[in-house]
Amino acid sequence: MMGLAGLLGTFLIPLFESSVRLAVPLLMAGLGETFSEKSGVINIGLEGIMLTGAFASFVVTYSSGSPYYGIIVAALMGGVLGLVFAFSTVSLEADQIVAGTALNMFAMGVTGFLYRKYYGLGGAAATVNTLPQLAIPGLVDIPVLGPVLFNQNVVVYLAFALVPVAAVILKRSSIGISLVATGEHPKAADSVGIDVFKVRYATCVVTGVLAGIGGGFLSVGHANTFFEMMTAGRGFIALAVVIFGKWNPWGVLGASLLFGGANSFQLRLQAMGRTIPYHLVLMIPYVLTILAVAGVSRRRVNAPRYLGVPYEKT
Amino acid sequence: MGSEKGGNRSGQAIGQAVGQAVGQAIGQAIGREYLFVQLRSWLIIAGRVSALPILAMAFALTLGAVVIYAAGYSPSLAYEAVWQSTFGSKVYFADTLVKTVPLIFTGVAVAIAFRGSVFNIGAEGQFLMGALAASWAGVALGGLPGPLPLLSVLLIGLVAGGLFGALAGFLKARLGVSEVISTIMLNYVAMRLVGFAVTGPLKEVGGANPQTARIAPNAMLGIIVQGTRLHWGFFLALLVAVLAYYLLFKTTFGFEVQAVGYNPVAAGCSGINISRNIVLTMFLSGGLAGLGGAVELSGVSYRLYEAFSPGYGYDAIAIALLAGNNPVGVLFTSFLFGALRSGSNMMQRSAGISSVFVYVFQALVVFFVAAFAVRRPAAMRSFRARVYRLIRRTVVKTSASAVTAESKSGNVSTSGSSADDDNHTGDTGGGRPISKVNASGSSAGGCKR
Repeated sequence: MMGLAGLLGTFLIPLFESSVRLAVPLLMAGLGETFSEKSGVINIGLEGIMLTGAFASFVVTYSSGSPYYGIIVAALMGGVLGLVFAFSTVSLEADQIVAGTALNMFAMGVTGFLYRKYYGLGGAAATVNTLPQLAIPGLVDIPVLGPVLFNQNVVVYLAFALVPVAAVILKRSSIGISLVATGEHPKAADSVGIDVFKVRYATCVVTGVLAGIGGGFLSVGHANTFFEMMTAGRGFIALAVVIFGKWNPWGVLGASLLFGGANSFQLRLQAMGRTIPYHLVLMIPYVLTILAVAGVSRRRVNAPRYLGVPYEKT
Repeated sequence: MGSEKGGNRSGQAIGQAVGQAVGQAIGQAIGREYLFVQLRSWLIIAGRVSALPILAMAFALTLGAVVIYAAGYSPSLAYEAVWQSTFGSKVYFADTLVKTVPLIFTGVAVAIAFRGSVFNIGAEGQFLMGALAASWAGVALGGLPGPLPLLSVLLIGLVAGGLFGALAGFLKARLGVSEVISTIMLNYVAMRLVGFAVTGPLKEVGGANPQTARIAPNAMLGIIVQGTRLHWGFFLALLVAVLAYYLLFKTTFGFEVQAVGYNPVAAGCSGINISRNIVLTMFLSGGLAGLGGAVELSGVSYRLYEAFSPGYGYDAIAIALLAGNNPVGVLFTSFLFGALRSGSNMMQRSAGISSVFVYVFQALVVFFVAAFAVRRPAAMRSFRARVYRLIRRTVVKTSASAVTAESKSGNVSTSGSSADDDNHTGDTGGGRPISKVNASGSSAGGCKR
């Protein structure tokens, strides 16, 4: 019995707690991507938007001292990038995959370039204040669940609160219906008076804002610093999360918790000792992503029909 | 690639007009009109093929200069550094070619996949897997006689990269896994595998650094010009690009790859095995990237370490897109990026701009290629028509003469004036397979007998 309590206290609770935290960037970006994919735009540039968000919130927090400002600016920067992406893919009808790839390269170059310019190469990494943990009175005292769920920072709460909100918007509101119609059959949507361009612009910006916050969370919520290529493929994992979650906010929640859990488990394994080569342990999240997507991709039941196809108004 | 299905008609028409004008001028200058006919048709093709990349490059260079200036550096100093480190001396030039070699391999690899509409962004991982397998072979099989070690290094690198690529192809063809996700994830897997190998099983015995042992001298590619680092892999790269061009545009297999890329349903209807084709395309694509890794290993570094690739596989995306996914075009665009790569170090020293700036530049190139390759976006339609008319007037009229008035200029003006209402134009003479396929667009034209 003693062993179980000890395991719970020293291993499982920290594991769950960090799983929840590591799920947040994926959840944020995944929810955003659900919106834009439902409206027919696939945004491969999530990785770049998240990286930009992470860098922006790091810079702002570093100079202002407040991580809250950092998150707000990350959201704004994400929104701007979403707008640029919308302009190139919706208005200019550029290939969405290619434009997303350009966005990723751009973010990689600009953040690396500016980071090296202002925060130098090597040496001690600059650190920033992190978002404070806000314990919810009462709920935090629930055993196991309390410390895992109710002693987190504001972005974690925001991300989890967004899941039901997104589900209601997509399934039960007129906005959601026109959004889904845009992704399923843009021409039909257009014929009943839905402005396809406007809907897609809106979802792209929402995706940008959410992914930006998700990225910002990485640098000022999860870690307390920024380093180049900090997102480490999370934007792409978020794409997988959307597929695995079948374009459903609740599914996206489940999938992000799964991937967050895998990541957190991997970190624990690394910390546990040198019996397993750490390079192989680092591979776990990526291999799991491929396996998960391979497991569900065959039956793409919920995939929007016009995903990735630019709409040409005639 | 879907992006260039529509083709950049007005851009090509501009190139065509320029090519024609230049051809005409040269033909008349040397007083041999018959030469001018052949010359002109070549130049028209060259102009049409290169118009889009040159336009995209010009925009990227300009905007790149603006970004450099905005960041508080000197654009002229930066570009001068790139120029100096490319053409400044024999050694610099050879070094640029050395940097170009892996880019040709990965660029051709990506171009082939893009032709089949498989968005392989995993050239980085395939490159690394090729190098990983080659580094093992170079040491373990180093004792074989004659040229066998070198051949086995190259072959094993090719197969390793090919299998790694085919894995993504299999996941796409059989399980419907988007290759964008799988190839990116496999890139990370390959990076970790290399990290594991150089610290674990393949680590040099007794060595202090995390790297593999030096490969056997028999497994190394020789140096072409003494005093430089230019190795025989350069010619191998040229050969691979030409062979890939032949394969894509002159063989049934290449036709099938592109047919599946342009319209899988039509390709399937005409009896092409789509799954098999996707896996083969990815095997070929990954194999060339892997061969690139093996060549880099046996020609330049002779051993494997964790930072073996500075992102050659990622550069390849921009390289292939800028070349219009044409393997021969890749030769030119990869030289450009090779120059940027070798220039970025000098840029860091003389202008103080860190080398990651290369990625900003690449992003701009990709963005402009994507934006220009678009099929008549509503917003740009009238604007482009206006620009085209302006250029046609200046270019064609300044060089107008009796010779062309009756023959080909009629062609240009038809494709020009219709550039904004019909995208099946511009495919006049030349009979280039690229433009033919482009013009057939996404219709079932590729499969019609």
